[in-house]
Amino acid sequence: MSVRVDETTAGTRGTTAEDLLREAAHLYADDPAASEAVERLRRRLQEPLRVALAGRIKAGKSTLLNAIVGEELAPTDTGECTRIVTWYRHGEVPDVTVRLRDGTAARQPVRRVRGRLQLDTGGHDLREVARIEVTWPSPALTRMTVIDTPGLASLSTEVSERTTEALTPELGAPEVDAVVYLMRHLHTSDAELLEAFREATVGDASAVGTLAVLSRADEIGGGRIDAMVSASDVARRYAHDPRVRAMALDVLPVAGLLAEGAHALRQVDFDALREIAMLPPARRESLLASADRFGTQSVDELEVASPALRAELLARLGFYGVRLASALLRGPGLDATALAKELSRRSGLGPLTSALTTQLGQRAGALKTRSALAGLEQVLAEHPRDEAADLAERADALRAGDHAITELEWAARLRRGAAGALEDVLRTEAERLLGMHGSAPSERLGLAPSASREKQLDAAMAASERWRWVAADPLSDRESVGLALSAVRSLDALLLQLGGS
Amino acid sequence: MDDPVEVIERCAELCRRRERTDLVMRLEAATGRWQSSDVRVLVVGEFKQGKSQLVNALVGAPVCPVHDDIATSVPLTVSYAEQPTAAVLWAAPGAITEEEPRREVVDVAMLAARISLPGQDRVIEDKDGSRLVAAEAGLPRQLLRDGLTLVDTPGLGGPGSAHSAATRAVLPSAHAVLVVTDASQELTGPEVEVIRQALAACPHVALVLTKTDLHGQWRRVQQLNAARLRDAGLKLSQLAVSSQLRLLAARSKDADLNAESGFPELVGFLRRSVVTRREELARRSVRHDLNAVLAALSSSLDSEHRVLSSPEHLPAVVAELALARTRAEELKKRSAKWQQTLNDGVADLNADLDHDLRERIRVVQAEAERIIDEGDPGHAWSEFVAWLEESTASALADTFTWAEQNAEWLLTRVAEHFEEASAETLPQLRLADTTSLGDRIRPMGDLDLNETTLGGKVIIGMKGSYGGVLMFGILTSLAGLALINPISIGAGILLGARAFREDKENRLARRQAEARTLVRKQLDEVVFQSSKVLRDRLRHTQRQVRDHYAATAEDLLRSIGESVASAQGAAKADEKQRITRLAAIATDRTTVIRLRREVDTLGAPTAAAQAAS
Ligand SMILES: Nc1nc2c(ncn2[C@@H]2O[C@H](COP(=O)(O)OP(=O)(O)OP(=O)(O)O)[C@@H](O)[C@H]2O)c(=O)[nH]1
Ligand SMILES: Nc1nc2c(ncn2[C@@H]2O[C@H](COP(=O)(O)OP(=O)(O)OP(=O)(O)O)[C@@H](O)[C@H]2O)c(=O)[nH]1
Ligand SMILES: [Mg+2]
Ligand SMILES: [Mg+2]
Repeated sequence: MSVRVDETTAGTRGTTAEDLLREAAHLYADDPAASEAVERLRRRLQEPLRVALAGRIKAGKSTLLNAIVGEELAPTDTGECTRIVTWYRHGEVPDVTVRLRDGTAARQPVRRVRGRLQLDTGGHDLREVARIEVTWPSPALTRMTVIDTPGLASLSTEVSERTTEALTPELGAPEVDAVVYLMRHLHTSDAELLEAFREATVGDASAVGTLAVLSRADEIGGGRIDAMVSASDVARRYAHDPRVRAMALDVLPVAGLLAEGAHALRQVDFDALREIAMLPPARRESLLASADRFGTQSVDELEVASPALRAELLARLGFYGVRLASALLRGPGLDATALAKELSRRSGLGPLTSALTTQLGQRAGALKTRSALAGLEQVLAEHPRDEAADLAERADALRAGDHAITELEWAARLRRGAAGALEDVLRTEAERLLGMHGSAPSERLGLAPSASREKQLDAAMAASERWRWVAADPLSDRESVGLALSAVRSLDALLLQLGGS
Repeated sequence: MDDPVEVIERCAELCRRRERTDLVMRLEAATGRWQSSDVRVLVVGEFKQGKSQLVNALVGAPVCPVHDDIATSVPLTVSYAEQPTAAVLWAAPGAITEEEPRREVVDVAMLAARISLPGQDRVIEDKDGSRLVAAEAGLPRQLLRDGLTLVDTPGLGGPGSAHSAATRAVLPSAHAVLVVTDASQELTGPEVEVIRQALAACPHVALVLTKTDLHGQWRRVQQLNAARLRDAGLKLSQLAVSSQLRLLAARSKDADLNAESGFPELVGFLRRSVVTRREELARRSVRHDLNAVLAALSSSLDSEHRVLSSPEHLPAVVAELALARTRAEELKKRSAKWQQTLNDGVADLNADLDHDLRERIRVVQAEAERIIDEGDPGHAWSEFVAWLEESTASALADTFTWAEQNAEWLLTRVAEHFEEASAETLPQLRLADTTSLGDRIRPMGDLDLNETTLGGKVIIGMKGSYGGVLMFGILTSLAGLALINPISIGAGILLGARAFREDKENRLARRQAEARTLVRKQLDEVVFQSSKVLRDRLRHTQRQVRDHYAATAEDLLRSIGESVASAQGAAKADEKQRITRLAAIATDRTTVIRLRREVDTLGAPTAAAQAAS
């Protein structure tokens, strides 16, 4: 399991972020505004990780959100749709609340039309609304709170600004811990926003809190049957682009619509798709030549797959999904469940969810602590008091001493090309040792999960020696030394863990 | 009346009979101009919207690079040729202004591969460091026969924004623009901006919605776009197409698919609104030339006729012609009103342009300095440079568009003055259309100096095809300038934290100062080079205009001389000669009248154009 370095180190000082916040609550008991802010931070530490979905308009954010949550919640549309930042968090009872800028909140009736929630501001002017909060009893939401945002580069700059504000507030720390950034291509405005987000986040660590998604990936190849393969190539190239590397952990191709549609595939859909797959080749090709034809042409041989049902399939799976299904169903017998599974597998959602749970999830503690400490510093700065000076110092010390945060920050700097004086092999090893590719000892050491404890110990010791040497080398520059010291510290914790278990 | 060449030929025959080689030459030039009028249609849009595929589907050949990832990196011009041909153009290292690029002929089949790039790279370089700046392809296609030239451009807003800058820079050179957006979503803010710029630079702009085969909801998107454009106050037609279906239709010879692809409408638009409009202008130009020639002919026929029918008129006719000659000579003098208008106008324009350019660049500079002061310029230097390039290219495109509009307006005024003067002096020799002034004064933004009053001689230099591309070469040099590493490398392990922080602050201030200086130096260079180019082009235009009118005045003088000669010759004729020559003159005069009538119908829209609309 993950190396809980943060607890070890924090434990020796006897202070945690939680402790500091408790003290702060005490200190500000007489100041309603400040104690309210502190209270929010404390709640935040208890809550699941907050992940925002961001990107240019119509990047497919709401659709992907539904796919991740596994439920059709967020409204989606061909036209500009999401206009307000919307939080989806876990709760036993469905609830929709509009939070206004003036701090008040208004509950809204929960209405769903064909699955999708009907979200409105309850008569409030868009400008007065800070955000909408949706509470929903969905298992996926217990692991993370997901935040849908309005699209960037919208014609109405006001709408786009709401997102920029939510992700990169002018003042203080952002409200989100991690970002899934959706892009259909790497547009200059994408690069700009990623950069802005990186600059706004404290401690330079956003590159490790950001995952990029090549969204609507099925459309990249013009809807050809090998679209997802092509999309993987594009994603891989983006992932190596220095600008993307500096700002995001990884780039993953995902066809959100396909994932969502596969999840909701019904038997009748399956029957219709199979009927289409079984058409004589010429008929099938003619029907599948264009979305228009597929959704409207009447075909005598098709009984189940009426034009209306086909149009619905098109909307739910996308044209690529329909083509893919019809190709898959021509092969040896798949049943409805197997088809849904196969479509879902090819949508690329799996790697995304696992990246969210491993790459981000394992770091949830550190990411949240980092946000909470930044928030605390903001409160202390906004409500200065003599007694608070000590608190600020300790928050600073806690952050500096929390090795999990240091790891995040070094990993981020590495991604931006820091310690360039070191050889590439060493820098790659450092990324791994810092837990960028998973925090299990074997993952950090780059060994197979099945590697024996002895082997792991050997590898860890060899690495430790190597990095101590880098740290002590008089020719090493300051940055390399800093990196080496961090790596050594991670290895120390790792050795402790290996030796102790 | 469809083909003016035939009318020109009959007119030339008459001129030869009357031994007017000067007029014959003029007609030959008119034929040449008529045959060479081409139309540049620029295909622009954000990257990966299907621009290259659109051009391929239009010409039915894979000339442009199309790929899921790899992008078009330079403008590719596709025009008519008897045999398929292709070439790539290289600019020598450091070439920044109007130098002709080096042409390298390549295999058509290899062209697409030669000019495409995996998205992130910026420019393609040759072994000797030359930069690839453009490419050309020639194809034997009916669609291109009438002079239609399609230009596929690098996508806007892509990662290699040097490409975007190139595209913005060529905008002013277009006669028409197709703005391409795919049907996956409605127009975004940056796209509407591109449309706005295209409309400012050129009169015929259409929005082409692509990939309708893939996006079932394209009609919704089309409606949304229409609303967007209405809200933005932009007027242009919208066409929906699928290149995929068009190519499929071509392969399978399937007429239904072709109709579904939407291409028949697109081709119709290009023919109707672009080629025909352009042809109309060319027609007017031919008509103008013919009218001038016929006027000169009929003037000499008239004088000869008057003297032949009553020889005692000779002194009066000669005196009249002598007066006309003096006035025609006046027209050539530097003090002539049209010359003054031209000289003053060019001087003013020079000053205004300089001001306009500086003003626009100053705005860019101010914004650049603000950005630098707000953050550490070392962090996002390449993004910053990309931004700077785009903004500068945009500013330059605006100035060039503005320059062109103003130059055109000036030339219309010069033309008017010349017309007035020649009309006062030489009523029977008027060079302009007698029909209406409206022909000469066209609405702003729709002017094209290739026609009417200027007889097509003056090709205003502002619409250069490579100039714009090379302009941005000034800027690419900026990209190579790396600022000192934002993260201190040599600070040394011994520096304490405090010292390091101070060092960091000093370094930041230094980097900001350094970045400001770099930007200022580069923008100065841009202003210097661009104003030089603008001045050169304007001077060139001025010289052409002056030469053109001087030659026209010269033509007038020659015509007058010819008229005097024929009048004098007529006076010497004996009775018998008089009768035969009068009969010949009568025939020629009828021919002139008939030709004039035919010329009048030349300018009218052709039957084909009417049927198409
Ligand atoms: N083919 C395909 N279409 C998709 C995919 N994801 C979304 N779409 C479609 O794209 C359109 C926009 O999707 P949304 O999820 O509403 O996009 P959004 O980013 O939330 O849009 P805004 O909130 O308006 O910025 C809808 O028509 C979806 O059906 C995908 O993975 N594949
Ligand atoms: N289904 C479908 N796909 C298309 C169509 N036109 C283009 N595409 C696809 O869209 C992608 C991009 O097409 P290009 O023509 O290269 O686009 P572009 O605008 O020239 O791209 P850049 O040069 O990178 O700016 C390719 O994968 C094409 O296959 C179309 O009509 N239908
Ligand atoms: Mg949305
Ligand atoms: Mg292209």
